[in-house]
Amino acid sequence: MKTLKKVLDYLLLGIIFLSILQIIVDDLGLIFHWGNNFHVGMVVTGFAFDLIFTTEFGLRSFSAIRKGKFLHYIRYEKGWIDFLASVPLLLLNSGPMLFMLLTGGGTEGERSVANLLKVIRAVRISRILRVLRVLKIFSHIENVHSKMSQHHVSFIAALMVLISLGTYLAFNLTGLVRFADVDTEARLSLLVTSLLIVNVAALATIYAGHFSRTVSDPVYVVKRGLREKSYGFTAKIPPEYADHEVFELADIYNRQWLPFKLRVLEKQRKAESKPSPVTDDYSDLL
Amino acid sequence: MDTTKIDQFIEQLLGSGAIRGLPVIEKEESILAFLSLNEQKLRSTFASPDYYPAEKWESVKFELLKKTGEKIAGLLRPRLENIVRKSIQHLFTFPDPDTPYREMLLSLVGKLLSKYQSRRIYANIVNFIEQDKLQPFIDNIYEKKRTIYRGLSGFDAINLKNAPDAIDFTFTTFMILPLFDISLPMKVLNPQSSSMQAVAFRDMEGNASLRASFISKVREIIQKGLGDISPDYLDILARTFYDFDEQENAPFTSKFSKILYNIILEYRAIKADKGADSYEASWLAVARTNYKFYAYDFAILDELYKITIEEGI
Repeated sequence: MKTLKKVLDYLLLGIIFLSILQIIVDDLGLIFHWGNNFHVGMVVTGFAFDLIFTTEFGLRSFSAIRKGKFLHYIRYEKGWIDFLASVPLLLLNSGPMLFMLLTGGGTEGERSVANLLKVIRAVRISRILRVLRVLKIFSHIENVHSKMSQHHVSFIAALMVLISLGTYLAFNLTGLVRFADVDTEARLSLLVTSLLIVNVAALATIYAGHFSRTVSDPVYVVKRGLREKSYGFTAKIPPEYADHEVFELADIYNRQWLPFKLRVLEKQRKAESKPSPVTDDYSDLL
Repeated sequence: MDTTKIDQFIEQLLGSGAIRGLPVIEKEESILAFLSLNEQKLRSTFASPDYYPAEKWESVKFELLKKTGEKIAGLLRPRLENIVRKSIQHLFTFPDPDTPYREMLLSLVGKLLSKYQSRRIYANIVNFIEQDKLQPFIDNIYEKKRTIYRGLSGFDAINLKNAPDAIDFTFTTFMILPLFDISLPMKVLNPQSSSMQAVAFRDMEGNASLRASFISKVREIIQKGLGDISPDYLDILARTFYDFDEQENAPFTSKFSKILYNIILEYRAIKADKGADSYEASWLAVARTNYKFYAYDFAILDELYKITIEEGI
């Protein structure tokens, strides 16, 4: 069961990466006019991804409702990201696009007409919501070593992506930013997407590493030292961060708790003097 | 008793998936734990017609333990031979050519290897030496010429003038010191009676006369085993296990050896967690705080600890 869950998680992770790639390629196709067939392909794949993620959201919601934990899923298990990155896109973007395609529209030309007429403006604007999928990556990477680190970094990443997307959407919907054509909009969409992906990647690597070194790693060492009787490692304290509260705590652990614990253990060992499991004969030495 | 089947049984255990990948001494600990946990089942199995129906379980168990020890000693022996024959450039303070003394040392080590307690210590020593844990400390000490350098090269009757000398001294010493961790049959005096008991040196805290007779017994064993060992070196070895009261007058080299030997005693090749100091740095940091408790020399500990920072150990 656990293996199946792992396989499904890896599969979903792969799909998320592919869907992000699809967002970029879609924008590139609009900028470089890669032709109608390409755009038809993008509409179909976009719809497929949205359908997969909507199904995933449906299944997770169903499972959470059965356990009576739907609100918990939405609030604390990134259910809101699963929702925003799937259902609105299926209903406002890829669904209508596929419908237009099947009913004779949906090519680049048609999309330009739609743009000009501002009939389904929300359709285009909502495309940007797909970038939210970069946040789904965090849900599928389980950092066993530090849940705190994972939650902290994914929270900051979510905040950054949401604020950026919110601002982008607000500028669009209020008309503060207007696009003369699909090409310009695709270029801006590509810029925003790329910026967000690079930022999230930097958060997931550079910042997560920094957070681990300065918060979760020393906390983990201190926790093991407090919890495990024979754990004798000291927490590494970088001199430049020695005045941080976490490292002040680590210093107390290093200088007071750990030496005290090991002294007590040594006294206990002497008092108990556990017999050796094997009786040795020393006559050959004497 | 024909022990072929016992031999095969232990071989099978050593080759089992759960034990095969373990470090040497953990293999022995796992087998001993297995034998202890499954004693009842093994008792009936070995009493069956396929094994030893005519033998008492105690004899079979004795052979099982003995065979386990032999197998583990067999795994450690070549590695120790390699250290004594190749890693040590010149057997410390022994006359040239030192080849016969190396063989005598190996014979002594071989005898100790048949003891469970010594195997545990030698396993740690072998890991420590093979993983080259000592060299960065010695190199730093001799390059920077600090307190430890001055102590090792000039304070005592034996002088370790350069890094290769210090390495030879330390490796040779590591081969001999496990003798002090065995339990010797000694006459233990107590108010009721004086009786012979197997006594471990570390459990004689506060009993100066018993400690003295233990050390004298070990000195005898070393002299018997190694012949021409220099009296000065023997003195350094014997005084490595100084007590609180003897600390002030203990030779510097003994103080240094005591610290290194105790680092090794608890050494396991465990990878430190991210965010934790290395085993050596952790051990030294804790020992700096607890130096009075263990009667360690603070200056040596402090300098070794600083080396771990400088060398990124």
